[in-house]
Amino acid sequence: MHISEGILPSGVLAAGALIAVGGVGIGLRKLTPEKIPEVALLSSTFFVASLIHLPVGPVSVHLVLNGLCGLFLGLAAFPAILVALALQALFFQYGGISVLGVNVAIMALPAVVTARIFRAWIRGSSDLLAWIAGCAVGALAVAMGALMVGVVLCLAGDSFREIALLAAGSHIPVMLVEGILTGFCVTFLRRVRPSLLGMIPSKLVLFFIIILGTVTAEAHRVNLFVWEDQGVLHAEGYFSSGSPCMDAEVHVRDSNGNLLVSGNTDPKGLFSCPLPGVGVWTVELLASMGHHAEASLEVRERPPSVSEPSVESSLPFENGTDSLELENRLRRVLREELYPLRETIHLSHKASNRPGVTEILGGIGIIVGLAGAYLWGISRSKI
Amino acid sequence: MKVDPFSDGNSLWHRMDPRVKLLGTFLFALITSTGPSVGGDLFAFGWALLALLVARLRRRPVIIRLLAVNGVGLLFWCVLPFTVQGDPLGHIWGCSISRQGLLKAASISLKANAIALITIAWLCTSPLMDLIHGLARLKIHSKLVQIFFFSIRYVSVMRNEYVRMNRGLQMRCFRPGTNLHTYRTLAYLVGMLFVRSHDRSRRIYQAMLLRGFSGRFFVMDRFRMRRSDYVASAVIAICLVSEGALHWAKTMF
Repeated sequence: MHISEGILPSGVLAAGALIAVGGVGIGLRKLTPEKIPEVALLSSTFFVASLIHLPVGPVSVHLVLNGLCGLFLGLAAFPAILVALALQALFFQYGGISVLGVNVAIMALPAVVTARIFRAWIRGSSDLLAWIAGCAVGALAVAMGALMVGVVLCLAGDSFREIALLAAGSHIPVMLVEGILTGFCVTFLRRVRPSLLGMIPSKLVLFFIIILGTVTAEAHRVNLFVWEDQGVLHAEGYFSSGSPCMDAEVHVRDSNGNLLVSGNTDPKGLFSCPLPGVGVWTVELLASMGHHAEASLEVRERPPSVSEPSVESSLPFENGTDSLELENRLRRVLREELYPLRETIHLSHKASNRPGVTEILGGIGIIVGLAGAYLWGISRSKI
Repeated sequence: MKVDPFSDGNSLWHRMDPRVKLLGTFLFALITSTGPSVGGDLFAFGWALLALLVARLRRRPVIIRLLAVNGVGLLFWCVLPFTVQGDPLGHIWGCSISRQGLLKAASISLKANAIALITIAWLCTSPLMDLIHGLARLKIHSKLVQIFFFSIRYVSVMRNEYVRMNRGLQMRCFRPGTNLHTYRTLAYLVGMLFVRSHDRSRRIYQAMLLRGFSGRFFVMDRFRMRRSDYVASAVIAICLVSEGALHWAKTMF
């Protein structure tokens, strides 16, 4: 991906030099003294990697690896690529001094842009996505560079159009090889040295996973729902998942703790028994595996329901239906009608038992705090 | 790998101040690459050839480098005579060869060769560390100079790492071909190369901290311009001015 000396008009040379100077300036400004040896050694490694030749069918191509450079260094790719290209110009007379700016722009600009676009996937949790993103970075960085070579050559004059097509087209095998290679390189580095790709060190990731795991663990608990109706006590037991608590032992005690009734729930998790009168009743549910729930019910004095029979008898019902059957029927209909409502209540109960926004925020706060403490410890031990 | 194979010698250019050589090469490349006239290119090429002869270098490595430069130039000789519009000189397979196209190709080849020759004659005759110091003295950004310094120092080290790993591959009967296995293996090799260079850079920085590095790089060499340097600078200046005059004389007067 070089343009050699003597082809380009001065305007294009100046534009390339300006882009290169700007990029190198920004890249250098962000560079701390600590990072300088790293950038320099990566730069010399890129120089060495460009000496590696790969077979593609009958021809052999050499690596460019500008996409990887962008991934490792971000904007610092500009000075690194400048140095690598200057060394190539000095050692092999590839490229040259006056086209250095154009060549830097052609290689570094696509590197920085593609790396910025695909960085999130490369650092993400999925290996396959990272591989694909790595391929995309490698191939697109070369493809964009080839496109820029073509455009720049076209700017040199109309007679260069064929050469521009040839130069850009000859990058297609390079692009394919570079893509595959960068993909594998990314998966390799994710396993061997994630910090090179700007990922969090794996120990810390494990730490995060453990903490998050404990936060999201769901409690499997038993809920008990008790109500009174016409002197009959009804209890319903269900797990926090919403499934009924079948065949569980139920004990009903009075306020002094004396056992009044005991029995088992039916397959729908329901239990009912007659209540002797007013007072505070405690219902205890003992499901399997030590699941246990308690609820208390206060039954107050109610106005006597004397007039009820008369109301019932005055209803214009078909002949032969006595009040008891009517009551049962009403009850059944009501239960069916109210079933969705109960479901809603169950669901909201379930939701309220799950970790809410505040718990999640608190958990994240704990994680950040612990991570901060951990990093602080690391930084102290380093100095 | 020796990074500066031409630097040991005892010619006029070898003894010259690297600052003069850096500036001279830069200006020469600038004038040569932007100059419009073929006469100027011819002059530049002749001057570069003369400069190379003065340097008294071994011929073989120079010729190898020039072959690499002219590989691309050949492409222009093959394409430009047919694509540039102009006076037809002859026909090959029904396509006319234009005089302007030939001149354009010749100009490109002359420019590329002239700049390559001057780079070899002037820059490659100084040890690279001298060039780095020269860059530092020419007020190039200190961080950039440091990057140059370290990467030149470690190019051969990283290359040795690569050669070592490649030897390991060959011992295990690795034969490159057009298949996924080859690409995967070489990708892992490249990845390992990066891991090692990263680790080495950490160690370098720690060693620097240990020796009291505080972000500033001191340049120990002090270059002194001698009388021969002034003479050489004057010769270079005359060459540059006359080349510029040849290029732009028509447009100026």
